[in-house]
Amino acid sequence: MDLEIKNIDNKYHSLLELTQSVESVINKTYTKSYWVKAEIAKLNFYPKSGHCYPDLVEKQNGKVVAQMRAIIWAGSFKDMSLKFTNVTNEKIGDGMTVLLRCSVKFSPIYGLSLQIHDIEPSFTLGELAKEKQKSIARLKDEGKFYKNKQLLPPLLIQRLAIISVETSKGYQDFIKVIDNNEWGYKFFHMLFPALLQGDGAVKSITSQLTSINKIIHHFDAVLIIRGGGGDIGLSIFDNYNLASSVADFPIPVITGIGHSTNFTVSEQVSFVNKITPTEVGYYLIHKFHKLSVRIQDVENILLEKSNGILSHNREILKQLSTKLKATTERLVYQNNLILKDINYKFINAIQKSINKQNHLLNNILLLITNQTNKLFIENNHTVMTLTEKIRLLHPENILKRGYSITVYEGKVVKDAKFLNDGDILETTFTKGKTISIVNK
Amino acid sequence: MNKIKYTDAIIELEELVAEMEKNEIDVDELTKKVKRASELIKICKEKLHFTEEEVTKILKEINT
Repeated sequence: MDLEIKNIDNKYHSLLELTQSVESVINKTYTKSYWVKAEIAKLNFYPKSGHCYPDLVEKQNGKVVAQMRAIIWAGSFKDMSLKFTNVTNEKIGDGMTVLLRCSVKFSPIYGLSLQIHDIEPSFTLGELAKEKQKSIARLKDEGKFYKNKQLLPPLLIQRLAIISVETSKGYQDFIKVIDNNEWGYKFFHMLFPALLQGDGAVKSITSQLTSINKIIHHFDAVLIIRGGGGDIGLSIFDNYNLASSVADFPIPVITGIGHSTNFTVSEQVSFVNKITPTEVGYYLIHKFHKLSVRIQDVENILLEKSNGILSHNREILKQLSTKLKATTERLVYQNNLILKDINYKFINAIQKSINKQNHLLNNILLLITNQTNKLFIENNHTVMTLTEKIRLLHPENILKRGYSITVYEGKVVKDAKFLNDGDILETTFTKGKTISIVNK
Repeated sequence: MNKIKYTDAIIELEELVAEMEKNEIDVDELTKKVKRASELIKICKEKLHFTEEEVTKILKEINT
């Protein structure tokens, strides 16, 4: 339609005239409301007023090919939000593809915009589901889907990097469970705070995973836990980037993000998924306990086995000792017999030898005695003969036979020539003596 | 605390148990093995109830 030219020179229009003209064209052309599919680049919700001023875009191959500002008045937004969350379990937020009923508005001051009246949540649900399937398909294509699950974890999952919100009930519950376990098992845990829902959650979690990866040698596992938030806002865990970071992480990632149906992609690719943080806690304690029980078993087996080996060896020793004793006794007995025999023979030999010597001695003795006797007898005879001779020669016996002995001055006179006249002689006879004087 | 890792300790323990169960150990070795096993059991038990990580040290590492 042509713009009516009103000024004198007929050469130009005022800005207002132009914008009003545009407004009237638009109002006449876009008379109804329309269902439009768009991505919410940014929701721009103002909590104070309750109004939203979303930036809507359409992308092709990642490039923005259309863009438009929009407005949702507080009243509409409240209804739309409720309806949307009831169906999708998500809050209307950045990055979502939505189907909106809107009308085209043009204001001379604010320009072109879309006023949004209504939303079709099931459309987004479908989009989210498609997004999720795409993430899964891509992770499988890239060979990442089972990567974290197939990790060989250490036996002892003791040092935990926890991605959570410090003030959340889920985190508090978890800490309570593992720090106060009844067996006194000791965990080391360190919190890496992150947003776990809504805009920015994906970036927040992946950047914490990157931080943890830098100091990975301090940890046995990463825990992503969340609780108390209901099922709302879980679609971020279907995000390819997040799920990929989890799947590709070099140590086990354990999830406990608090819902029980329709697991998100991140939960599907995680090493282990539990419904709640508390269950994650019990899972870890149970693993500890299994180790503890095994160690107890091992201790018992070792005790039993070493006792077995010892008593077996003791039995062998006992048998050996019995055998040894029997053999020794037998040997001692045998040797005793031999000794006794030798002893007997020895004594016999000595006895024989003594007897022989005795006999010899006796013979010698007899010989000596005989010889002595003979000698004695012989000598006796000689003595007797001599005695007789001596007796016969005794002067008395000579005198008896008539002989006499003449003594001069005490000497026997054997030669008369040595005598002189007047010598006095003493003559002895067998009986009596006489004195005489020589007279020649 | 002992530098041996829990996993290594338990693997060594299980090997000892296997050896024992096969009755392949003679009395001379037995004392040695039982001593080693007791050490390993002690290490494992301690590891379950003790950790030496410190948050402040790790934080320093992140920031360097």
